[in-house]
Amino acid sequence: MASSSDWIPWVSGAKEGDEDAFARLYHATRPRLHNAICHLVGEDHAVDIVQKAFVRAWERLPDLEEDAAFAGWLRRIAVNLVRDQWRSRKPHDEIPEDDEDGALQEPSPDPSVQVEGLQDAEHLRKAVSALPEIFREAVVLHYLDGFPVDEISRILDLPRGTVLSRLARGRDRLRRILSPIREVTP
Amino acid sequence: MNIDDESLEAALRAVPPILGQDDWTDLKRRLGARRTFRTRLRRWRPTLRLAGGCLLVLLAVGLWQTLQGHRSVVASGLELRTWTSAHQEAVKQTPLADPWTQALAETSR
Repeated sequence: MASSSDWIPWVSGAKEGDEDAFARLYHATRPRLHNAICHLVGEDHAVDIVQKAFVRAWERLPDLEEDAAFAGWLRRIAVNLVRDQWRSRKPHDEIPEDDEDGALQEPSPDPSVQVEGLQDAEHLRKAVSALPEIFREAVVLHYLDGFPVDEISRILDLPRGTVLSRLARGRDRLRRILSPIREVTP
Repeated sequence: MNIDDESLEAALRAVPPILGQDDWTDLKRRLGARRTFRTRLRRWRPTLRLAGGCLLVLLAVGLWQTLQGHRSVVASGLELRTWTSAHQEAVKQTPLADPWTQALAETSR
């Protein structure tokens, strides 16, 4: 996979309408984006959302001011598409408002994702997908996609403190989900 | 089992990525279907930029020439005024210095 400094010139080329440069950019940046989106909406919807994100990126590339910021900018487009997907999936149930005061109800742990330890990647993935969406966004972008907190605060358009708080609460919930059944129940 | 923050973070970071499959053909088809005037224009942007640059140079040259012309008109106006005032001054001092006045004086004699 090409490093970010390799694909920056392709961003400038794609901005000028060079489809070959955009193809190279797609091949270099798609796998990581696919991974993040998979953890947000599941593999079935991820392919379509990733393709849609690249179509939007192609159309809006001239608006991108800093070529080096392409990855974060692309994530922002993709996260907006993910949120659209969440909204369409549950039309009468809004994405929960921020839960900084702990107002959000704690979901009961799903026994199918409660595991003995952290070794099993598949169980970790299931635990992440069981997180409420607002925490899942932050956890996926930070731990599974590797974005720093400042970048996530730009992607999600949230203050840095809110991102940190969502990460902490996301970890708390993951811990609860991952705790073995025998310790959760008496 | 109590999972500490560090182990949880390390475990999350170690989850192998799901990379999926590249499908450039599908993306190219989607791009083609949504090709707007704006995206088409982008391909011609370098040519348009060059043409715009040439036009600007031509306009600048035209403007410069116009200004030069205006400056020579101003200069010749200034020369005329200087010459006239010098002539009038000379005539005031010695009326017959003007060849026209001299000719008139001789004719009337």
